Amino acid sequence: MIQNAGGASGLQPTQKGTCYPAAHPATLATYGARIKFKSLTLAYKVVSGSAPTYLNALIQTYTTSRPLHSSDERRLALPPWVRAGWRAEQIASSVDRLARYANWKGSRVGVHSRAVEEDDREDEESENEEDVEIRRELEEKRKVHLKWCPEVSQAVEACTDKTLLCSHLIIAVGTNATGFVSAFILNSASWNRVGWLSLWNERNRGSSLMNSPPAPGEPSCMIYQQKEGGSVLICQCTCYVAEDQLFQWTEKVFACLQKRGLTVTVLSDAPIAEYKTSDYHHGSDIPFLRALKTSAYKEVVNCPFLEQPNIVTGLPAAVLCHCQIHGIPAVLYQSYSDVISADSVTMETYKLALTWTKSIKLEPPTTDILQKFTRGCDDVHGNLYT
Amino acid sequence: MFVPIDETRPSFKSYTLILPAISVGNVGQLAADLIISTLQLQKIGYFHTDGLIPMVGNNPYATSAENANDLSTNAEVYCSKDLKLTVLQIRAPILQTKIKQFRKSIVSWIKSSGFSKTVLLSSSHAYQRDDQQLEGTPLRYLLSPALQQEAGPRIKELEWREMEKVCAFPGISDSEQRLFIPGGGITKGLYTDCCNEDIPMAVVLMFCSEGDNIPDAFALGNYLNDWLHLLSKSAQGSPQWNIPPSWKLLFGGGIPPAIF
Repeated sequence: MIQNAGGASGLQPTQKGTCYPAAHPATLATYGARIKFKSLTLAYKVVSGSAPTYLNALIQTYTTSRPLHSSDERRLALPPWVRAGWRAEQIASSVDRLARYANWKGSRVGVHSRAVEEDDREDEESENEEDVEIRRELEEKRKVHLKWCPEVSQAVEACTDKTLLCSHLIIAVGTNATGFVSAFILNSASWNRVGWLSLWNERNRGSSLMNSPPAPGEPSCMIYQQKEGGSVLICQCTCYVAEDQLFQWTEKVFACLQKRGLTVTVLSDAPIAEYKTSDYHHGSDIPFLRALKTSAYKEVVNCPFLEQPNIVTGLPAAVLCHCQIHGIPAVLYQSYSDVISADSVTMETYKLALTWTKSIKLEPPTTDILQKFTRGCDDVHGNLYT
Repeated sequence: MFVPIDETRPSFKSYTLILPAISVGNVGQLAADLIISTLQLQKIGYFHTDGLIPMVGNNPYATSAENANDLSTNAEVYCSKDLKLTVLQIRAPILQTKIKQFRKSIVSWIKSSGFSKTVLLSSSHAYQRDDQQLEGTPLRYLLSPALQQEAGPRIKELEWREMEKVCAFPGISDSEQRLFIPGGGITKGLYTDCCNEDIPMAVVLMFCSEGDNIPDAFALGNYLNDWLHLLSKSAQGSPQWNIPPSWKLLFGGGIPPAIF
């Protein structure tokens, strides 16, 4: 059982070590070709003088003070930010631009291996002070921060080991799982928003102000607490957490929860195409739930376990890994659905997962509310034809 | 960081450690799977690190319904007391930005555990071989100076071929030779670290291409077994490896009947 074994793995490792949901290789190649074509056209236009003037500062032609072989090769000069002697003070202000540059660099298409990156590692050995500085700045920017509202942070501070008492933590990841939590649980008005995780990555620019909570509807990781009793926490994660942030994410969340008496339930979803089975699933069987549990979890699991060779990655995997290693009882309910956007039938499957607790009342939502969460999830990203 | 399952920390003094490099075709990982599943090694702990992409699944080496639902993670440590053997199985790719830290944590674990030797199972792109590498066996080895004395004579007896060094600047100068393991992931880095730190390490690798790499895993397993004698050979002259149940559906699930 190896994450990237087999051609049918659901992940495509890219140059920067990030994995995105599998896109068709042909699509990737088309994007790569389009990016190259576009930049070459722009470069040509700048050189020939037909480009908009604001581009002239970015691209300069290569000129030599004396005749060289390279003089008549119509080369371009190195852009200013690549030249040596670039000052370190400039870095902080331009991390954003750098990240974009790195992403662009990462999008070049080459021979693809499912196991390893093709980059020559020796580059890394010879990295200079400047590279180290850039790397450090990027790492700093990609840190995950957990923020509590004033009342909760006071309660945490008051506790001797700086942790929060919590009997159940429910983590919802994915459109259906978060939709289910919104429609069936949080809708009942007996929940308070008590905190959020702020993070920045290439797909989640985050709110510009670190200390202000994300606006409603914005992709985020919100934490809710039950008004009465307050020992149940729900973390609803609608934003993208990059692979290098998953470990941090779990460390940050679990560092401020009391380990004793804690049970974790993770709700998550995946497309049916990721589910491997020797028999083919027909329409009526879908959607369905599969579970994974840590060895400390002794409760009854209300659905079949995830069969080998299926695996789970992403945030649910990070949470389960953490709980397994630290002996925390945790269970993951993964729903496999054949609908791209959130739908009410898939949401209903999670009802099974939450039968263990009397403290959470599932309220069947009205049609209006359901529609609110099932609509608006189907906006098409990166359509080639629009 | 190694995290044992039991409270007591197991002692690895004079044990052999086998670990895979995440390399082309996942050959090292598949070979490690074969070793764990055939020798029925016992899971004794985890390697908990932020350098690997998180991943979970059920027991990949399940033999019965009882042990089928033991959670397994991206890096686990298996052990056999009788064979004095430890296997670290890694199941997920290493994060590009954390490669150095990952290598460092592996090296410091090897050092603190006192393994008598470490074997890195790896692979390299077959298409990148040079003229001298094209002929003969696709299997190669490397020994760190600290292991040369102990393992050198036996390796010589087996007539293994050492991984050739290639010209740093082919066609320009032949004087500068370097170690080049394309597609080998952390192989070269980890080997160099172990040489510098005086750690006894052997790299056992194979040239291969990506595709169905199960035959490559068998070949690498047999090659390693010639040296370490992990399991006895059958009458046909090759060891009987036991394929773990998690290897099924390696190339995807069932075919939709509607397409016919």
